[in-house]
Amino acid sequence: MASEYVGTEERYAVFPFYLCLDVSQSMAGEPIAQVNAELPGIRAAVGQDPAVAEVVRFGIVTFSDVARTVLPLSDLALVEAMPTVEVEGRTSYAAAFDHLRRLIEVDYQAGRTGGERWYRPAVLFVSDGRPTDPEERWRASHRRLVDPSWRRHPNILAFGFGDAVSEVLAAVVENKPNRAFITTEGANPSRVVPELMAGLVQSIVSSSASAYTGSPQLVPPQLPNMAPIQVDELE
Amino acid sequence: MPGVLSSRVQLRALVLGDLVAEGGEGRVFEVRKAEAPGADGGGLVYKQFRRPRPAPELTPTVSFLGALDGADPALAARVRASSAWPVAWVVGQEPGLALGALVPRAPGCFWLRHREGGPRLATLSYLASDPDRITVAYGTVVPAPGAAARVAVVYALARLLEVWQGDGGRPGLAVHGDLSAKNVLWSLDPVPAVYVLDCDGATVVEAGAGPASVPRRPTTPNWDDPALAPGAAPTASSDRYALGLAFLRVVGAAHFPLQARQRSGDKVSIDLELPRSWRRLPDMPGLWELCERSLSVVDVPGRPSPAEWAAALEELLSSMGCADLAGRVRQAQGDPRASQALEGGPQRPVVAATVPDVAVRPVLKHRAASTWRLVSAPGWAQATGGAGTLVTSGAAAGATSAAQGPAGPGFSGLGLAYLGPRQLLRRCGQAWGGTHRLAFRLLASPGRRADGFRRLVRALLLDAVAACVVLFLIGEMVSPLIGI
Repeated sequence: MASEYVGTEERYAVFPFYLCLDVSQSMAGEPIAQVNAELPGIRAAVGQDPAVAEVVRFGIVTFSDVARTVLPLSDLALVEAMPTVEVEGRTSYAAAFDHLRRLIEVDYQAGRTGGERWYRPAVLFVSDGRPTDPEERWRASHRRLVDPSWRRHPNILAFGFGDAVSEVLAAVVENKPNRAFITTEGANPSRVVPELMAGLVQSIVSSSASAYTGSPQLVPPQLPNMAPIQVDELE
Repeated sequence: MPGVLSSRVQLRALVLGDLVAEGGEGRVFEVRKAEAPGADGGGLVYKQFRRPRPAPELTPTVSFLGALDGADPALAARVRASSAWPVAWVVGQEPGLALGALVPRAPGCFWLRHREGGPRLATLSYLASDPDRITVAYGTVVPAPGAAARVAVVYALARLLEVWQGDGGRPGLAVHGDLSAKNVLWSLDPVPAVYVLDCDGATVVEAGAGPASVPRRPTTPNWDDPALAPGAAPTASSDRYALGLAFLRVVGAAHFPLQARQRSGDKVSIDLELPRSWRRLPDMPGLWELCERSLSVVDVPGRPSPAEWAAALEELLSSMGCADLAGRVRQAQGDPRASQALEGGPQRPVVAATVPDVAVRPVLKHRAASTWRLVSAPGWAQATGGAGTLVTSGAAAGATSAAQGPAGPGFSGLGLAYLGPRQLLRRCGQAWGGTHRLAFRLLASPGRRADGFRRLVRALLLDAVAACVVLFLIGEMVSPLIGI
């Protein structure tokens, strides 16, 4: 019988989530105000529950002409207050993908140095518009982000509303089923963002529960005809 | 009073209040009034099942307490004091179908408050975690690892399970099946105690009736019994496994992964880190052997009974010089009899053949000083808000490590530069108050006094420096006026 030592100081592998938020001009007004109103709810639901916070790491990236890290990947239990996001310029998907590609690698290396084990990160990509940069440019950046030869390539869930284009979102999630969601015709626009943020919380909390099993799943928000996707642990 | 409700209550006889909680198994509502003879609904909540369940199957669970009352009222008192045991099923049009259950609301001592927000259930997650992290993150002070209060909490749990799994002459065997960090609440004030939730999912097997297994119920992944096949119903042995695991995780203040390794068939050797003060205790091979047998997946029938655990923990508390604590736990549970006495006189755990698949050994060491730091987000957006894409590798690495343990550069400091004067003053006031309060609370917490003392000295030094600066400034302002 093989023998394994278990130190009680040992921690569970963590499940990193990157919320990648479109803050282009089209988000001005109610949508951005709603995002800012809902962000503390993520901290309350995830960070204030010790059992969920233990296995979730959460970061926020915004993008417009450029991409910014407004919340570095953090243990939400130790985050004092959530940042607020502001509307900026156009919608550069390429900036978002390039930024995420660098950020995930840096965070992974930093986490590893600190003795963390990671499950494959998840990117929750939220956009209300079509990319304003040339198609070949954002597609090239996207290819680098999801490149299978890069071992840290994330699983992406994409959520679109407003002018978002379903074909583009499908491309963002590599045309994988049940990973891209777009508002249905006739949806009440003022309900879209709060429901989406509540859905993201639900997704993170459900995924964190599965992280304790050792074979976690990235659980999409509960919508008809959706199933969890298997997520593998990084070496 | 809950006890006078009949075992079935009509849903229309209840006046429901607010939704209290929503989880995988259903929704929980306040009960403002229960229109049943002698019942006002006070102290009860209505737990609505996600799917109605056949009432006849549930009847033994509700009648368990009544039967216990008849057999030994002190045992029933233990169950009432330490668990939200259902008092009645709630039925609708269909009398054979239970829509939910009326269960007691967790008493006030099993709730706690974070630095912000409303009351929260004090789940075992707080104890099965690094106490420094819990303190820094939530402002909640929990006892140091290895503290007698932690042992006493597990003792209270063992005493409850002792009744549930009592043998000979008692009215049956109760199997909870999902004893986990989220279902077990704890309290230290006024006495170490537990309060087990989700007992409506428990099953009571009446004495002499068939095998002691319960219908399949959702279990918590990191607290479930690895000896069970996927989807199999938990058994009384599963509760015994959870008790052994609770001892290691609560007393060791750690939430280490275990089940996946046990499922893979490997032998696991657990190094339980405990404070060096445990060196003063006598050797306790029986205690570690008890842990090993509890966690074994090879010898499931050999898992020790809760009575064995209770007796061993009484002995441990006594060797820690806290025999009176055990007595107070029993008193608070309404049954002052010692477990050793109940089980027919003092008994030492019989050291059976060691199980082949689990080894537990204590590792006594000094705890490293806490490195957890709160990090403040508003600074990041601004601090990294230069032109172009902004995360430099240093910033990201520092922030990540700051949030995860080893303190990185002071990002919280960066945030202050962007606050208005009023916000800045308020934040400083909060930080000042919080630092002093925390130091005093740690000073009052056995096992964490050294940390409290360090913090207090640091806070007082800062106070002294601040007072000197203020005096100097006042002097500077006043001296021209009085002609010095």
